[in-house]
Amino acid sequence: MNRIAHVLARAALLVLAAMGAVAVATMGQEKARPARPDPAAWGADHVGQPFPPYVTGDECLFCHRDVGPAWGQNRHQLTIRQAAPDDVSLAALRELPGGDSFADETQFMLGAERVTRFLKKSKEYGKLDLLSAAFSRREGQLKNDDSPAWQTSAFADRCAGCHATAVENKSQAFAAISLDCFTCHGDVPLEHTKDVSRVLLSSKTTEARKVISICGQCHLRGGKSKSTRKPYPNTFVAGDNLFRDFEVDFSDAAFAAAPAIDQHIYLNARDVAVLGHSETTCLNCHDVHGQSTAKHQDLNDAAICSTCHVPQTGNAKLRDGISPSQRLRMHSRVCDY
Amino acid sequence: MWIPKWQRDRQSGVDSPVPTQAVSNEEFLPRPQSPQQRQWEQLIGELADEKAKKLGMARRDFMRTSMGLATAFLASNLVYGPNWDVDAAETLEPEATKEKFPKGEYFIFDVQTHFTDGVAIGFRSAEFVRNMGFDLKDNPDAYSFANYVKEIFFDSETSLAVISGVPGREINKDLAGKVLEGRDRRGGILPSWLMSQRKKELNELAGGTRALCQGNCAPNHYWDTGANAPDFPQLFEQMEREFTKYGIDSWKWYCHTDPGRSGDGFRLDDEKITYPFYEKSKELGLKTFSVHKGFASQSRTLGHFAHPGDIEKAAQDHPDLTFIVYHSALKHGPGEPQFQADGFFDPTTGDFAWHAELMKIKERNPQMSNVYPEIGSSFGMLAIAHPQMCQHLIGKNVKHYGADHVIWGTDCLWWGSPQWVIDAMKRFQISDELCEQFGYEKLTKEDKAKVFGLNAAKIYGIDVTKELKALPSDALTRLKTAYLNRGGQRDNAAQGWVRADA
Repeated sequence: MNRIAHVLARAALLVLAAMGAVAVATMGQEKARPARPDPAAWGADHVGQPFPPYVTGDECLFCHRDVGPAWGQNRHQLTIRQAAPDDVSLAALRELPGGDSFADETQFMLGAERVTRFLKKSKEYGKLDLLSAAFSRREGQLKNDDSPAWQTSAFADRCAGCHATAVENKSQAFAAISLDCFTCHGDVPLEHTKDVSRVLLSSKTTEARKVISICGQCHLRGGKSKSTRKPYPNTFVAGDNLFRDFEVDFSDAAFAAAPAIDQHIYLNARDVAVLGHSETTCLNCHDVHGQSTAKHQDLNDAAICSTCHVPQTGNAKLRDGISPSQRLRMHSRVCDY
Repeated sequence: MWIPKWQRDRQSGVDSPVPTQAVSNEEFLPRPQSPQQRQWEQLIGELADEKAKKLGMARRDFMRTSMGLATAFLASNLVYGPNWDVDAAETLEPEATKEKFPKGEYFIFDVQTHFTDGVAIGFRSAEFVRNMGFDLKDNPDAYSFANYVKEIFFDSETSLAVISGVPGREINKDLAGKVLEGRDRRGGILPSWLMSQRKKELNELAGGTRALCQGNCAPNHYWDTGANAPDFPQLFEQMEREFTKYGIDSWKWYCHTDPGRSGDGFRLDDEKITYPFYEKSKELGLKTFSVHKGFASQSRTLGHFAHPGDIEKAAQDHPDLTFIVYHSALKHGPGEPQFQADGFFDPTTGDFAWHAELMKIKERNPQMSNVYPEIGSSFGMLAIAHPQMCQHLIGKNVKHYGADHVIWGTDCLWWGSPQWVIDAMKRFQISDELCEQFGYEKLTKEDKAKVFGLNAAKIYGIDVTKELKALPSDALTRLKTAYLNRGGQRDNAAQGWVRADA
């Protein structure tokens, strides 16, 4: 017994010593690092305030007629889409006992790649009811379909912030389904026609911190509002500093746990928001209106590419386990896109 | 290689007064001309060169005359078929055109004209319009009220115009409850308060009636989010303001827009949301409703509200109201990819989306007489891009609704001065083949006179005889005469970019 106890005690001491050495080494490293900027230090926010009046997307499209015809198929437009009566998911719903009424009531759908959810307008302003049953497109069958029911608060609690526009903090009511121009371009004044810099995310307004805040309001999946604890920001208006109220875990551990699609977003957001870099933002690779990733090729071997690509290969090779189709299907704990 | 369209035109001897191809605004690669477009343009150049030489004129100067315009239509006929009424003599003798289309032959009353509140909105750099026959600069001045007066009244034969609304709503009060005035009310690129102000200025300047105006207020503009229903007190307050203070002559509705953040569009036949508006409007004494239908891509999520299907019940339930259906419900314009999609246009029936639905409404309800198809943008665009569809548009409108119900509008100055559209209508005719196959009637001069202005004059209570009598002496006519005497004329320079090789 003594011998065993001695061995154990010795092992414990060794472990403690090793941990101490690691801690000292780490402290040394931290001391050597330059001070990190506080992500919440710059800019302003609208947390807890009502949304300001803004020009709505339909007013924008009256003039921007080059955008309208293609916008209907844009992913940012399809965060909620009109229910297609002949969709396979509705056919599955109709097979449930009493399913016809759920299918008939369904006005909108959410999710196209992996899981489809069913929605209908609530009686309340700016609300949608979410059906508890979901349709798995991979498996071609319904889930949670034992006793389907319309849920009145699920969409507002979990989805509205990124699938609808201008979700009010108190009522959680949205102003419009899917994402209006306002979501990314902000409250654009009429004078933008004389000065494009008045439009956020225009060719003249690509300030890295603002870009990361705008895209990050939805694409930093796993973040939470400090004030509401909801998985989407509290009254974020494009141009605000997202990180004044939106909490994101930028630790290595959080990175490791995230799928590749989230990793590259976290990496870029950390580079900009925490480390103060500004060379690379979402806009370097993503053409949102054109839905093109052709610009990917421009960032040959940048660090952010290594979340999916093998370095030093000109991004020609994907890491093991990464393929475009898999990448799109990787979902976070929050949702799928 | 890209070069500016005007540069290529001048090199190749074409200063076309009508569009001959789609031109890029630098945001997309210029599309090559179709063989027909190339042929048309080449013909315009060759014919213009030949005729200008014969007359001892510079080609550019020639193209700015009525002879240049006649040359463009003649060349179109040679390429696309005899769609336009034009004689060879008109390409050499201005008198031939004057004789054929005597000055003042038509009272031209355009119910769809616009300008902006000092902003450039990019229409003049849109694919379709970059090759219009005018100086299509795309800056705030080009969309200004001053240029509106020049292009609508000086550069064209338009006598009377409705300043027509666009999507947008006014903010009535600030957070402290103070009633706002003028620009503080916002309201978008052409708010009701501004239309009203400019109408008054123009009519005062002219010393007569040259402009009418519309009001943008619509049933979903003021919303009670608690009740999830229209905020009727606010809505009616704005209606009263637009009618009594602004002196509007018609409402202009965009059912597929939601500037009041109601969360939805609205239908014309919605008894809870829209019918109270009708009743209030009747009470005020305003019974004309101008409603945008078609061009569905102008809305992000609410395009289906631009479908004309809601007109039927609304018009039947309210026979004392007049519904002017803007754009004749053409769902997509030639600049949209959907225009080329299978099923959009059926040449065997002459139907196209959603115009066919509008026609069916009248077929089902032959007694219905308070619905008027308006042809702004749809006629002009189809005339250039698809002459056959253009003949179906007019042929069916007249066949189903009657020549006394088709209303003239151009959507200018979005597309420059409307004179090219006016000239197109003057020369427009439906082919014998289409008349025979689809039961259309040839358009007579009397029909055209109705379409150009007499129909709209009836709706708006305009005494045409009195107006025509007053026109020669009004200040606007005198200014126009001075402008023309000083050499004022349109410029055919197109500002867009095209391929140097095609």
